[in-house]
Amino acid sequence: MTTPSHPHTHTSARTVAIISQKGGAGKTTLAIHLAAAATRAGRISLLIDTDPQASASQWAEWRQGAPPEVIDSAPPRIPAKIAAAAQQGAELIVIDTPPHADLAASKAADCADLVLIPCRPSAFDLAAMRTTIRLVELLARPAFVVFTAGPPQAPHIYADARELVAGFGGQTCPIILPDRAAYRHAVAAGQTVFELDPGGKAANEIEQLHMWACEQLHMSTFAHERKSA
Amino acid sequence: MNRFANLADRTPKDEAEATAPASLSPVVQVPTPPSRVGRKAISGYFAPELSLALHTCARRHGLSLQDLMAEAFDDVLRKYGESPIGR
Repeated sequence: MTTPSHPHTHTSARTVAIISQKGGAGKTTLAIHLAAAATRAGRISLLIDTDPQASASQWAEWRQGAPPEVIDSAPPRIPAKIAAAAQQGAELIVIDTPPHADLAASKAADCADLVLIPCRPSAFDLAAMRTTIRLVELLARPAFVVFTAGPPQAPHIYADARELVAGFGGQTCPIILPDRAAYRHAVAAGQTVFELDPGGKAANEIEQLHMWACEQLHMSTFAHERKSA
Repeated sequence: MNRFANLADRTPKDEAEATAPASLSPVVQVPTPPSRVGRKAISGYFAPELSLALHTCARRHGLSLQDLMAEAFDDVLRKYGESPIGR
């Protein structure tokens, strides 16, 4: 039995892996926005794109170098890249993975301080998510299902979905990211929802998710606290 | 704002070469890794759930996927009355 490695425990960088065996759950949208929220809070963030479709990398090209920075990586190189990025000053590293990618998901989760599993609140998606929960359980990483792309006003759906996840032995993130047109418009324009509609609901929900993630990672959520620390 | 550009697998130069016509690309000889010399690849297409189950099983027992598959192939050879080959 091998012990999971922690390649970056000697640095202050924190790593979040976004994994889900099912496509269309909004992995890249979540990854982009989590990295962007960290940048907005004054952190140096890096998004590692392990998806051969390179959606996040394409988005970064559209942004012409505006942060957050995106680099690609083949799955076996993820641990080395995290260690190097931490040495180069990265504070929050987000890893986006493709669906049905056991090696990428496993490598990313293995390196992560926090695993987020975006999932639509639908029966098919929840059933597929069970295998992802098994993977992170095996790697003993703190993992949370984040409900994404569902209807904004449907408390009963989310309550049922939470119950199902609990039945699988999984935990759910208290922040829900419902389907919002702002995500589609922003990403298609090489933007984030913070740039497209800073006062909008999507921006507010992402900000809440970022603050919740910082709490999970034991990171300060305010720039002035970090500077005085 | 390219603090981490040195860590990327693909550089803009690579991208330009990748999109160049094939006839202009030099032929690159990739040496065979020592672990593959004298060996043959066996592959198949399976459900993603089976792939995940094999990866997690290998990891749970501290094995590589290669080790796990070698063990499985030996088991199936025994099952059908053939001699196991081992690695």
